Parts: sequence; C-alpha cells; structure tokens
Amino acid sequence: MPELLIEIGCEELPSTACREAEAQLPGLLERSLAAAGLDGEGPRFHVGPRRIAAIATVPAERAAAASEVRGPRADAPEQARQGFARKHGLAADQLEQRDDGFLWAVSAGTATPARDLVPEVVTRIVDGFQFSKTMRWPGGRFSRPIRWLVVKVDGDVVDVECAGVRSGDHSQGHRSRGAVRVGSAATYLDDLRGVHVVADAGERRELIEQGLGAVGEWIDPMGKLAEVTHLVEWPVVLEGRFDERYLELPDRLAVTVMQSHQRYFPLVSAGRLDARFAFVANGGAPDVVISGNEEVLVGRLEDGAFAYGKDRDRGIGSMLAELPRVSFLEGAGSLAEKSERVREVAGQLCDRVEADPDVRAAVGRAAELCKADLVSSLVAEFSDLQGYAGSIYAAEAGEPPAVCRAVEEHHMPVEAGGALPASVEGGLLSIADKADTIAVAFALGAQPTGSRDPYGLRRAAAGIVAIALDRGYELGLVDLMAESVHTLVAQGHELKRKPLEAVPDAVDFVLDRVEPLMLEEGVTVEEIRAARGSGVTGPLPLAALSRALRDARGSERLAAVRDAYARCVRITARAADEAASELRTALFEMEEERALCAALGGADIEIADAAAQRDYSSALDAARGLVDPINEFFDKVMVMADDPALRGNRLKLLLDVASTLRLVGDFDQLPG
Amino acid sequence: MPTFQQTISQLQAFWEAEGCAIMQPYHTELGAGTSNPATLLRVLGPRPWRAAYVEPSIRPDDGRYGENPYRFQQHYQYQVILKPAPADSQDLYLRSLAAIGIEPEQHDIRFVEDNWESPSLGAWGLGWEVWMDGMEITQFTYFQQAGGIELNPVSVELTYGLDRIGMHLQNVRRAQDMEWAPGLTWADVYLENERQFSTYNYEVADTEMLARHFDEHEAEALRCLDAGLPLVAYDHVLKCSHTFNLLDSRRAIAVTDRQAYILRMRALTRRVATAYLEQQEARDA
Repeated sequence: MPELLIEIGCEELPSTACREAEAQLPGLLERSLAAAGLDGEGPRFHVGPRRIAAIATVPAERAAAASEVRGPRADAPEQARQGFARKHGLAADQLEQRDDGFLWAVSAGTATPARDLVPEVVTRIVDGFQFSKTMRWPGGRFSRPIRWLVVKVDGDVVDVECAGVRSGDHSQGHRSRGAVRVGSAATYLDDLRGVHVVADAGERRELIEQGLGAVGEWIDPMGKLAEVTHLVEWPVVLEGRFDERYLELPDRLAVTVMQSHQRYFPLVSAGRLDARFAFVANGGAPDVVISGNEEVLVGRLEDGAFAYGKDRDRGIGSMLAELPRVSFLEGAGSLAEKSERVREVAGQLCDRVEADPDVRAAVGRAAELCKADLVSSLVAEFSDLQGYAGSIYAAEAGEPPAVCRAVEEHHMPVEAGGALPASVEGGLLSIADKADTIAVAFALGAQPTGSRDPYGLRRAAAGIVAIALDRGYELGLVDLMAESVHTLVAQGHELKRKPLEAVPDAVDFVLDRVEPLMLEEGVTVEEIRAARGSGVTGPLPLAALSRALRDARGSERLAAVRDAYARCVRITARAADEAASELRTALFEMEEERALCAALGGADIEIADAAAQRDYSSALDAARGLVDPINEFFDKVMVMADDPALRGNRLKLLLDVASTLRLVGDFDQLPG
Repeated sequence: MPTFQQTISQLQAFWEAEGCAIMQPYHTELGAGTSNPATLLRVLGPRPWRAAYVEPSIRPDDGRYGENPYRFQQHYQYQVILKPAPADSQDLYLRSLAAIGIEPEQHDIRFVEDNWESPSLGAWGLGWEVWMDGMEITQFTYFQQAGGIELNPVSVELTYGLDRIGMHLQNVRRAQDMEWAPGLTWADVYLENERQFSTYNYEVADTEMLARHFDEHEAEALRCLDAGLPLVAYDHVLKCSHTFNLLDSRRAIAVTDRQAYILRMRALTRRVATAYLEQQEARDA
C-alpha cells in the first residue's frame, strides 16, 4: 500500500507548540483521513522546531460506493429526464426504468484515487491544530509562519495549496545546508539526516542524553531537557567551563543561572557542582560556540553575584520594610497586607489539622517573611528563585531552619504535577498562601475567565489539591477562604462581590482541580459529578467519594441505591413545595412509613459517621440498608394522598431520605 | 576588526540595498526603536513600508553609572521594519549578519521563542529572540497589534542589540572598550554621559516637575488630537513615556499608581493610532 508523507515546514516553532503538535497530530491525522474516507495505518510522527511531519500507509484509492437515485417519472417531459440524467453524469437512455414507474440513476460508483483526497486531508490537519498562542502573517494563521509543504504519496508529489504555500518535494535542511529533495515517506528521515536534521524528537532526545552522558554526570533540576529537544535540529552537546570562584555562590543560584534562561545542564561530581556545564548547540564551529556561551554565562553569573551581594548587604529586614509599599494584586493592598492575611489563614489551617505548637509557630513566622524576597534584586533578576532567595536571607538573619524551609517551599508546586513541599510547615504555608490568593481574587471579581488566568489561579488551586491529598488534610476550605476575605475587609479593602457568593465559587474552583486527578485514576465524569453533588467541600472527601463510586461501579448495591434514590426524587421534584416543613410521626398511618422513618434514623447516623471517616464504602452499605424500606414504602404507601397533611408529611419523609442518600452522591448523575 | 561605526554603516548599506528608507534617530527620547513613529505609526494601515535606522534606546532605570559592562541608560538599537513581512524574513536577517561579519556557519544561531508586548503602546507581537552562541543579539517580531489596532498586513520588526554585536565583533568584554572610530573608544564618547545621566536619573531629577510634565504632555496630546494633529500628539505621548520612565527610576511611582499611568499612555496611543489611520484612509480614498 502507498505511503503518505505530509511535512509542514515552519519558521521556528516554540517548544510548547511542538509539544502541542505532538499531542494533537495523531488524532488530527486519523480524523482527517477518516473524513476523506481513507484508513491510515502504521502512522508515524516527527515533530521539531521547523517541521511537523506525519506518515501513514493509506489505501491506493477510496473504494467505489454504489448509488441508486430515484428521478422523475418515466413519463416526465423530455427536459426533466435529460436534466436528471445530466446531473448524474449519464445520458438520458442510460437511466433505468423500474416497475415503480420512475427513472433511476444507478451507478456502481467510481473509486477515488487517494492522491485526489490528500489535499483535503492536508488542509484539515493544518487548520485543525489548536495552539495556545497563534499569530498571523501574510499567508495565514498558525503558531509561526508556514514556509513550505512536502506532500507525497510514495514518490509522487501531491499538489496542495495551503497557508499561502504550495506543496513540492523539497524540504529545508539545517540552515547551514539548505534545501533537500525528499524521495518518499520511506526515505524521509534519511533524506533529512543528510542535510543535518534529526527530524524525530525521540531520536534527538536520545542523542542529547548520550552526548550529555559523555560529558559527565549532568543534572536537570529545572526540567529543561524536553524543551531543549525542540530547540535544536542537529544536536551537538558541548562542554563549557567557568571560574571556580562562582562556586562560592549558593548552589541553587548557580544552577538557576545556568538553567533558567540559558538552558544549560550543570555538571556534578560526588554530589557537588563542578565549574563546568554542558549545553546543546545546533551547529557552528565548536570552539567559537563554546567560548561564546562561556562568556554569556560569566555575564549572567556576575549579574547573579551582584544581585546576591546587594541583597545580603541590605538584609531581609530592609526588604520587609518595603512590603507595605508594594502592591499585591489590584484592590488587595500591599504585599505586607497579603502576608498578614496568609498568617491568619495559616493559623486557622494549623487549628484545623491540629498542628503541633512548634509547627504553628514556624508557619506563622514564615508567613510574615515569605513575600520579602519579591523585592530582592535576586528575584528581580531570576524570578525562578522566589522562595529560595527568601529562605537564604532568612537563614542569614538567624531564622530557624523550619521557618526558612517553609519560606523556600511555599511556592511549591511551581507547576502541575511538580514536586510538593517536603516539610509540613512548607505544605501548610503553601496552602494558606494559595487559598488567600484565590479567595481574594474571587472576592475582587478577578477570577479567571476562559483562557485568561493572569494570576495563575488554576495552578494555585491544583497546588492546594495536590498537597491536601498527599498529606490527607481536611482543609475546611470554606472557613479558610472566608477568613481571608474577612481579613481583606478588615484591612479596609472594598470587595467587588459578596463573600457569600465569592467564597463558594472559589471553593468550587479548587474542587474543579480534583477532577483531572480523578479521571487519571479511572473515575468517570459522571461519578465525579455525583460525588460533587453530595455537597462535599474539600478535595479529600471529594477524592474519597469519587473513588468509592468508581469501586462500586456495576455492583448490585450501587444500582439498588441509585434506583431507590431516583424513586424518591422523581416524586419530590414534582411536588417539592407541597412538602411539610417538619416531619410529624403522629401523621404516620402505615407500617411502611414508620419502618422507613426508623431506618432513616439509623442510616442517617451511620452514613454521616462513615462519611466523616471518609469511609464511603461503608456509607454506601448503610445507604443500601435504606433500599428495602424505600421500596416497600413505595409499594404500599400512596404518597400523593388526598389529605394535604398526609401528603405533605410523606413528601417530607422522602425529601429527608433523598438528602441522606445524597451524602453518598447525587445518584441522578450516574448512568442507569 | 570593524569599528562600531563601520558595523553600523554595513547594516545601513545592507538594508538600503534591500529597499529600506534609511531613517535617522528620532528627535525625542525613546525607550526603544519600536516607539519611533517610523515603526509604530507606519505599521498601521495597508501602505507598504520598509525602513531601517539606528535608535538610541533611553532607559533611565538601566543606568549603572557606566560601571556595568553592558547595562547603560542609553544603548543603541538597529531597527528594521518590513511591511508586509516578506516570506524570506529569516533569510534576509541571516544575510544581514553575514554582511557585518557574523558568518552563520561559524556560530550557533538560534531562533528562541519570545513574545513581545508593550502595554503602554497597546502593541504586541510574536517571534523570537535570536541567539548567537547563547547570547541574545536581536529581537525578531511579527507585529500583530499596535495602538490597540489589529495590523493588516503584518509587519516584521528586527531590533539588533548593536552594543552586544559590536562587542562580539571586536572581541571585547566591556562595551566601554569598544572602538567607536579609529582611536576613539565607546568610553571616550559616552562614559561621562552615563555617569551624569545615571546620577540625574536616580538622584537629581525633580519628581514634582516630572509629575507635572506628565500631566501637561498628556493634556497637550489631547489638545493636538482635538486639533486633528495626531503626529504632534504622538510626540507628546513619547514625552509622557520618557517622563514616566524617569519618575520610575526615581522610585516616585507607587506600585498602585503604575497601572494607571500605563493605562493613560495606552489610551492616548490608541487615540493617536486611530486618528492617524483615519487621516491616512481619507487621503488614500
């Protein structure tokens, strides 16, 4: 079967766009081929800074599809018959007259060669990418301008015009090599290798790792390898050196200088930094490239040393004194006020998790100090050092290690899935800081909208969730966030939204971040919705309940509870306003009413106890215990009795049953 | 080894041959060549435009009294604006490097993602910082918006960091040691300048006067707009911008006021851009 090759040639794509393309391309290719009626097999994808390529085996043609279309009656006027025939590419006498009295256009159909269908496949793929940032250029819109297209079915060029360029069989090699003719999908990787392009990202990464390994023991604490893989087409790993005296800088400063902007890989021996670094070049004369990079690094190390020296001269006390004059976010006052709120929220959190007195003291002190480094020269120069800079200046001022540690760790996790604070103090401070930022932003109407999230609140929320689940914290998010908003008001700031609306929204926003984690654990969207419908307000119970519903999926007890719950809510939803406000046992007439009421009394406590222990499996068992009384109730008792008092009382009983069952999930959300 | 002025001449010759009008630096302080009306206003509307020029970039807060090897309150940019952006922009740029003695085969030249935005100009674009052996030497931007107006066609803007390039070509570690003209170094020309302006920017500038000037230039810009003179109004916006930068280097802008200042300049630039475009359309009609 023929092989299709599509290469979209671009000006340098950002590494984030490369990764987006890698994620989207398999689905895009499959859907685009399917839309053209072609089945692709054995697809391969090669993404790099200047090209996005897809290869697949495709059938030589799309099979013919037979068709039969009924036309005018056999006795219709000549003109109508001819018109119909023409429309279907036939002569009038080729139409088939059938017993029904009509003329039919019958065709076995024609097969369409794959190459005729490829242009629409290419256009669909190019148009189908969803990059987080796109730009316009005279020609189109994409992550960066598209400059060439190679589209081939085996050795033949397929003519496509797209994004202002026309396909051909020439690709571009490394800039030092120029254009190259691509033979076919089969020769694609080798053709490009000949002009110094390793088109496959996996292969580039391997080459880089080999090269780094050959230089020495390298580290990548800031995770630059994936990015570097998409910054080069012809990776050459080189080694540079710098003066030993820069090793006197704090390790993490030196490492950040090497990694943050320059994307170098520090080298270590016996666990200590060397005065050497490895980096990945994309060509050039090695000696020229090495000395250029060494010079740049010295300049950056000098900047770091200068900023560090300046900060040490002034000390953390002078930074703290500046915080009242630095604003946090519009309408939420200064960084000093932010620190004050974080301290309040952290205090509340320490109560909630019953933290030891020394932990409490350290977290409180760290809350006061943790924003000081935002006005340091070091953080102005290297924003990645937030937290760390503060911790070294706090240590120099004689603060205890636990305080410094919490200051250092309170930014963590810095990205989704990133490392969590290792210390208890760091984890508590991190949650308090993030909860305050989110609560305040929501109260000021600055919550994220669509893709706009200028304060990084989604990341903050994900951080809260990750830490809470990891440490098994009951957060009492509602109280924490309310504390934060009340302190904001006490500080004299005006809210844009009522706390009663903003706080629950903010809590919901944090709970939203539990969902992706649960999906990864095999919980379905419906199960998460059911769990959220239970009214839980913390990541921990939400996760526990979601998992319990997942584990109970398909079980008899779950189905029984769900159906019983459905019976209750079906009727109460229709007549909710007729329900009595209080249940009166004196109005019970039937045995089944009394039995259900008694069962509810027991189950209520069992469910609440189990839920409090996050033992939702037992809670579900307790709920199962209500099923038989519910069903017997429905079998015998006429809920919509003529007597409004009886009716109201029975509806009230069912409302109570439903709300008890709902503690284990809003079962309406689960598929039957 | 080329003198600094030779490097500039070579760039001028290269871009002149590519059909650029060689403009001169603007007559008032600019933070960047982008603010020059030859870029910011000329990218508006449909008329093609190609220009190149040296621009002194005046950034009071970057002054280091002449003591830092590459940070100054005034440095030189070489600015090229091509409208519409040609399909071979990157090749043109690489050829311009060769023209000043940077052979692309010798170096590791990389286009590394960088997205540029100027809130006070209501302008943004996507592109790269161009790295040569790990050093950022040029900002390469496809302009998407200016003065709050979507650009059509899109222009490409190249901003060369002349000092860094000059240092590399002359193999010196400090800009101060660069040879400007035979027998004359950068320090001979500008060192005293850096000392005096750094002192003024950080220690002497009269902040009350500056705050007043900001208000006055803003008011004058508005009057000029009302009088149908967007080009003149824009000069006053530029003066606002430099005044703001001076206030900033004197730490005279509270963080809470900062955004308000930026929004005022942004609103002015937007009105200038809109009026400029309307006048151009009326003339072209």
